[in-house]
Amino acid sequence: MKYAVADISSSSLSVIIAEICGTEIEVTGKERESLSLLYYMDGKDLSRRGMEKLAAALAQMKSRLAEIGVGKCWLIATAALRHIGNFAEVTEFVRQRTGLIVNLIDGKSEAYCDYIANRCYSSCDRAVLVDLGGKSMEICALGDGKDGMVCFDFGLIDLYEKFADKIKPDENEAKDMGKYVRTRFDKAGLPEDGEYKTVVLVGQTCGSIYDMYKEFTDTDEGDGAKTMERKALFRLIKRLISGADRSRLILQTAPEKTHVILPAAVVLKKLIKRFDATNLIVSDYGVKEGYLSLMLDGKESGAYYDFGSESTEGDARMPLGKRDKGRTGSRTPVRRNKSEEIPAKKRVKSAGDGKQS
Amino acid sequence: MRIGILTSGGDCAGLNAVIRAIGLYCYKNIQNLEIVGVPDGYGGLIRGDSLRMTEHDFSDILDRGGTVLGTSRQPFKRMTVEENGESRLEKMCENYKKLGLDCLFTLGGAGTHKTAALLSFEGCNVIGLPKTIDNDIYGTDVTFGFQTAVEVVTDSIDRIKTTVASHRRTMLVEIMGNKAGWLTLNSGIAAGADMIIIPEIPFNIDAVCDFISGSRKDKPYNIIAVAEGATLDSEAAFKKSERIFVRTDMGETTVTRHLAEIIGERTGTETRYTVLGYLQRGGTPCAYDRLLCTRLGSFAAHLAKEGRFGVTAAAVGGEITFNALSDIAGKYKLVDPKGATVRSAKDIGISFGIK
Repeated sequence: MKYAVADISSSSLSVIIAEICGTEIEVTGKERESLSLLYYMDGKDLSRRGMEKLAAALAQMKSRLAEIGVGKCWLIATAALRHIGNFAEVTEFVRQRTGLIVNLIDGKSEAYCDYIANRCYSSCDRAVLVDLGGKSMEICALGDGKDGMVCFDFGLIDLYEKFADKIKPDENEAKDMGKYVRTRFDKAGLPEDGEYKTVVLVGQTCGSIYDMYKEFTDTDEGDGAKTMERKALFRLIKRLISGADRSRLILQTAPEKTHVILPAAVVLKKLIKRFDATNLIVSDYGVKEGYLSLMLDGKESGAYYDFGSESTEGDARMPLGKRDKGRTGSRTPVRRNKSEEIPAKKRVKSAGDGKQS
Repeated sequence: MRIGILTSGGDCAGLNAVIRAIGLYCYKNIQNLEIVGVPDGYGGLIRGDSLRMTEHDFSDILDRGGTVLGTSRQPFKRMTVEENGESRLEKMCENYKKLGLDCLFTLGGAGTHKTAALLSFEGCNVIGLPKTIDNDIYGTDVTFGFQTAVEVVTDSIDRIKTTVASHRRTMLVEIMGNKAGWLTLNSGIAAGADMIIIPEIPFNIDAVCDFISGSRKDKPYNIIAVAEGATLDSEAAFKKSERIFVRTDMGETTVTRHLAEIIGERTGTETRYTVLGYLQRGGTPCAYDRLLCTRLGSFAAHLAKEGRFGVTAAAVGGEITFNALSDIAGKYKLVDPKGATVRSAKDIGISFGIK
């Protein structure tokens, strides 16, 4: 049977299609439709137009999945949708229009899904996973499982809203953003120099940075692992922050990520410098792959659409009452006084410690 | 509120109708308003030119063709290239500030929308409006100017048909549309063309000639609607630059003349071709476009009043709405070879030049 997991993020709707080959899950297809939800907000709420766009994109995706013979599809949403003021209205609208039920993934589960999907990188020298999302960020030491995770409940959109006057921050705003991020990392007790040698970048935004990196360095992707050279990446980041053609670069590779690319670049630079990491790998696998793996192992829950019976089965993951408190989706800067990170139960350790889950 | 309006790229019917709707809405619904027209499209913004527009300037231009603001083509690729230490994009952003604009309406096609997205990324408050006779802007069912062009092309083919029928010829009519075949498809069907050749469906010369030979048994003449971006199936795998190179080497930019010669040689029918050219852009907007332009312009002005920028107005399912520029910039809406319109045409025997 073919399985699919679709993910609604702040800038796109993406889907993976997978089949079970023996004991392995093989991803046989990926699709992505840009959907800049930020432009469709009415204050804290997603506008009617935004809901229509989302439902239309999901309906199209569903019909393509039916065409290629997918049997079951899970629809998941991470922090981006979780923080929308009228979340319940949005999910009900989606259900009525498409029959799909949204499964909410909280920050910690998102990090664990990333981890499950990227366990293969555990063999890399002192590796850490980094997933930079619009409304949350997950950092996870490979080898430490759930104990090695730090989930930040602020994301790239929050950084944009807090620091950028225009759509993209200028050099001074980028500096302020960097200082703020560093403070939050310090508060969360994120390890410093030399702790990690390898950074494995996960998620759509990191993927977009890699696409820009390819364009910037004229690199062919080839069949091997996607890697970035630290110096060249820093040159790209400098150009993104102050280069005359930065807008063209973003427009060519990831127009829907205009608001988040520069904050992502700032955070990435801070992390790489903080860890003094030299191996930079961009993973093709993330929360969708991890979620599917856990679902098929019976270790996750969630409602899915059954294309055979044309109906939804199971209960939605994370009921509404348990979801995070709604937060602003507007341009109003997000200011919080106390640290709201989920503290790591123990200090994030390197995979080099030899502990693997 | 200080509002700027510019029209960019190739002209088409309906530009003035949109300008009118924006102006009239703003003067009736926005306080402390000043509107400036930016002449010659992005060229005017690069130079920092502007002209003040009073309510009177918008009153009598609904049915006027072209654009009262003037237009120019400014290739997107050149926008971020530094010239004398400054790029065109930087100049435009500087002049946006110098002109004291709170909002800029950009009326244009796919290229104009890409540049509008650039301006938006740099912090300018931009609202796009989808203009093109090609109807290829992503995210909108229809663009303004398209329907008028369909009417003009249909009428032209109708007129050509009487001559072709009298002389028992095969006539190839070349229609605008480099990437997208919407104009050729819709006007071809509306004018009763026997064959429609569009970029989205690469054609086969043998299939074209076989169809013409076969159809002569029932009908003494043929009309073939050919989009200027029509591509041979043998060229389909080529990159655009390679195709242009080969064609330039042959002294032509489109395949129409060459195809007419081959049809004439192989089928023995007297074959001619005609290029409609700029006829397709000109003239007054049809009633459909006047209505569409008024709805789009009024809605776009409403978006400005609401403070929603970085978007473009769109017609979706009969409603006027908006899309984020970042969701549509750089994308094209092309004819679906398996879509309903193509299927309907095939069902009544219209050939697409394929086996």
